[in-house]
Amino acid sequence: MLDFTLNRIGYTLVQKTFIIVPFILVIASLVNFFTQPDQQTDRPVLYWKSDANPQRYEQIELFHEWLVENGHTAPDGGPAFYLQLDAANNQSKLIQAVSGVGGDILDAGVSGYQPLGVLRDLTQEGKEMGFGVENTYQGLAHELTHNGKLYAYPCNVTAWSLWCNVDTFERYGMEPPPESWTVEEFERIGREFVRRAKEQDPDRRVFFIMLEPGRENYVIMPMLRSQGLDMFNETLTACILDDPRYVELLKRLQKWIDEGLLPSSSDLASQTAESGYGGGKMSGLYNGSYGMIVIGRWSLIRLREYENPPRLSLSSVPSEGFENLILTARTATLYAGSDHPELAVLFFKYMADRSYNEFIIEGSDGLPPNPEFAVDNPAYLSPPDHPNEGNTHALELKWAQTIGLPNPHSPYYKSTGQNWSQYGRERFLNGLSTAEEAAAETQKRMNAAIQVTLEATPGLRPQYEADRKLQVKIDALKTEGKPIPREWIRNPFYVDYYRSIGQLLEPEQSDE
Amino acid sequence: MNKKDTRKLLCGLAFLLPNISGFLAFMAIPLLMSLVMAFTNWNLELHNVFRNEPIQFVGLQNFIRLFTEPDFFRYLRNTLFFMMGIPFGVAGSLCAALLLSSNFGGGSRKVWATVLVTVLLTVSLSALVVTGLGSTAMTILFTGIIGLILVAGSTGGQSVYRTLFYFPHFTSGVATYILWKKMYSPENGPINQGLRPVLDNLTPKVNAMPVGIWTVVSGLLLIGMIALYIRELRKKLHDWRDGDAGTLSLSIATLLISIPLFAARNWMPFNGWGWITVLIALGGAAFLVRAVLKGRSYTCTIDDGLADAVVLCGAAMVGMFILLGLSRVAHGLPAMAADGLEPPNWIADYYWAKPSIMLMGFWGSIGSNNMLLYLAGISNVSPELYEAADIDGANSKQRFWYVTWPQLSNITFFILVMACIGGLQGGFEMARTMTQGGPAGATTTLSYYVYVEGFATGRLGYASAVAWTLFCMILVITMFNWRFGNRYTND
Repeated sequence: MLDFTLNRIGYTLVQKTFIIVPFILVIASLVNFFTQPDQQTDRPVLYWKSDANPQRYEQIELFHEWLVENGHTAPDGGPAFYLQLDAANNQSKLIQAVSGVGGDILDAGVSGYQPLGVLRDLTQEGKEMGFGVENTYQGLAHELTHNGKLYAYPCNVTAWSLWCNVDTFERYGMEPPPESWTVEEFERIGREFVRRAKEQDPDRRVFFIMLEPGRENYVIMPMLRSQGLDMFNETLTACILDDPRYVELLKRLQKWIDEGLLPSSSDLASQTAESGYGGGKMSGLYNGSYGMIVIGRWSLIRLREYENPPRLSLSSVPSEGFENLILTARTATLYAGSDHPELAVLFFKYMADRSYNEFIIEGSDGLPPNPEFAVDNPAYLSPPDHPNEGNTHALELKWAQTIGLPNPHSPYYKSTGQNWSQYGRERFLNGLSTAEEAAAETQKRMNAAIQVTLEATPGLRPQYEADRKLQVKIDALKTEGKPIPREWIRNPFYVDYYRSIGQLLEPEQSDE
Repeated sequence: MNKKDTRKLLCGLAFLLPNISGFLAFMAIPLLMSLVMAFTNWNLELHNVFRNEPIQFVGLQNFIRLFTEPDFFRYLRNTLFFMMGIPFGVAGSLCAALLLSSNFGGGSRKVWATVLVTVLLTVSLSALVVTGLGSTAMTILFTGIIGLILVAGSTGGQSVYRTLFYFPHFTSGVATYILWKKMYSPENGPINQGLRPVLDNLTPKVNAMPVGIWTVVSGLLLIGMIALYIRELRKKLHDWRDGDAGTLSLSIATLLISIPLFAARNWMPFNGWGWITVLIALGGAAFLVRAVLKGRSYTCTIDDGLADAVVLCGAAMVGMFILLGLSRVAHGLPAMAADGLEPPNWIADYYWAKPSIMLMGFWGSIGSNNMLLYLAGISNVSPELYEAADIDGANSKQRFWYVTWPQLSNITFFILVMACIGGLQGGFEMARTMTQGGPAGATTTLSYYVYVEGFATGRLGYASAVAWTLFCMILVITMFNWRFGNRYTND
């Protein structure tokens, strides 16, 4: 009897709990819904998918002020709409974008997201509102456009160059390296630096340059390009790294590691796990473990935090002829599924306008997207509060405007499983293959990946075949030593390179 | 069914509905979808809410690509290599469980012994600090931690040790991996900080020894490997003759223990002598065939003792590989010592990256749920069995091998099967956090490959095909468990 009663009580309790739980869930859902930013206001709320950097919140505040100043107001005089930061990592961004819930503005690369069809063409709005390739750095054209259409505008820009701690060089009785240098000069100065460092600090490991894993290409590619070789050919249809120039460069890398100019993988693995802007290499530059690091102007965010920030100077990547460096940008794009594209484009106009650019200049969060506000601007060129920063601002801006080129990218290449150029390098540096084998392996793997991409995305094939035919013609012209028509070349590096050596046939010349 | 029954049924279903909905939404439907996707060209570039291209069924194309691609087999080899650490993990958790089932309670002489050891440690540490030898933070840290553990153990008893051993299991995986990444740091990591002085001392000693000694040591280790092979072969043959093992079990056992002998052909430290081990393996096989043809007195079914063969001969195979590896190390030691012995670069080195991760996995598996399972199993062993063994005059070793080990056989088999399943699925977090699959793909496992193909390149069809192939492998192991698990327990 007692058992029965207890069972009955238990049954009733569970039944009630079962009813109560969904009820609580419904209430919680309603509370959640009504506390969403969209429900808090009568005006539209747009979402910006970006990282949760504290600067983003300030940039949003500034954007709201900019809206008001520029007459984009609601009847109450406030901004016509609100922008809300929706922090998302790369993976979430991708999944949300292809699923139709990608927010309004996406911090995303055109090369990765445009092929997915999730980005909106901004060409027309860019022309009308004054944001486009002509309002930023020419070297970024490839990163912002696809088939001549504008899909992005930079939030900030980096011209990857060598930042030098002048105090460290002075300690070893050396002048900082020159602005521009050859590979031979680089080796000579580097060896001298390491020799003096060993003499004065025998118990300390000091390297001439820190080359961060995953960012080796910011040095390797400009050096390779300075000799007229790129990762992909003129039409971007094939990897061409199986070349004596690349082999030689790999051997040089090994030699520099052996000589202590660059840290080895084990040295890098021994570095501090410090995170934040720039990670452990910033401390390394500050405390003199590295003479130079490969970075951009945004490094100043960290360096300015030190009580006695070091004196700085800038050098370009050593060159063997054609001087260049890698120019990258964190780009904002307009999501194709945005409910308010007409409002979201205002954000792009804001990024090309004075207030945003001055904010970037003041906060040193990279180069401003619109160089017009930095050129001849004393607040940018020589910030009065930071005399230690020397010529860094002027030089990075100059290089970004003149010799900056995008990272190698082919629309036909999507890495299958590995970063194959890094894979080849690691095989060589781990003694698993010779430099020649590593270069051949890299080329073979990347070209195989191109074929896989073409099979997986058949829509690319007609363009690929057309480009292949052009490549055959280009190769024939190269053999004959004749100039190559500009419109045949899809690789932005080769456009600049052939122009510099007088081997480019501009459209007006070919018309003649 | 009357109205009341219907009402009860509906009520029951309503109770189950949240769970069923969750299962359907997050497990069953995605699972089915991924199975379908494996036979399609589903590619995020072509198929998403903004692209209207029809999804095409490509039949077995994804699977054909997978099996014709060398990388798949390479990543499978990496995965299987990591799984070679499983027997050590199982043995480690068994040892931990045996240790923790011992009595550490207060009041006994053990406590005083522990306290004495702690005092000795503290005095030694002070002496090291005073003489300047213990100035490194690592010495103080290690000694301090050991002292702390001993003191805590002597006062808190078993529960303190059990908690400590179980620590790795409830620590977040990523945090653990970052910790190990720092431990493996070649220049500043505590492991190499500890190894460096040892190797510095060892180098002149190795250099002072004649090279021939190391050749002898290398040869002895090879002989050890061969001896282990012969021992296992003889043991299995005895089992077969006694009717404890079927012919299939005998064949599989022979195959497993022959693998290191064939591998030794390429990895033999003595150039040109690789054919010897192959000859031994072939000789062993011929001997076995002859014995089988001669017949036996006691018979059994063909697959009797199969699980036993897989577990014990699998462990023996790993042991043989270790002896082979050590033999190579001993052979190359004088050359290495000539330049000064250096500690490994661990995860930064192509050859050391996999063993480093295995070592970490070993640490994690000692204090895992496996240890808890063994602890539960040990506490369930009937005391009468031990009493009977004591009456028969069994020593502690015999008590373990003839009472504890057979009584734990079902748990061992379960753990082994689960570890194999986990091993096939594993490696993603480690690769993502510690190595990014490198150096040169050395730590890329199948699960990491699935992730890269699915989310880095967006080829969901192909990624699903890899995932389902992985599933099939796991299914085979699970079927093996179903088929032989109970039998092994009853053997």
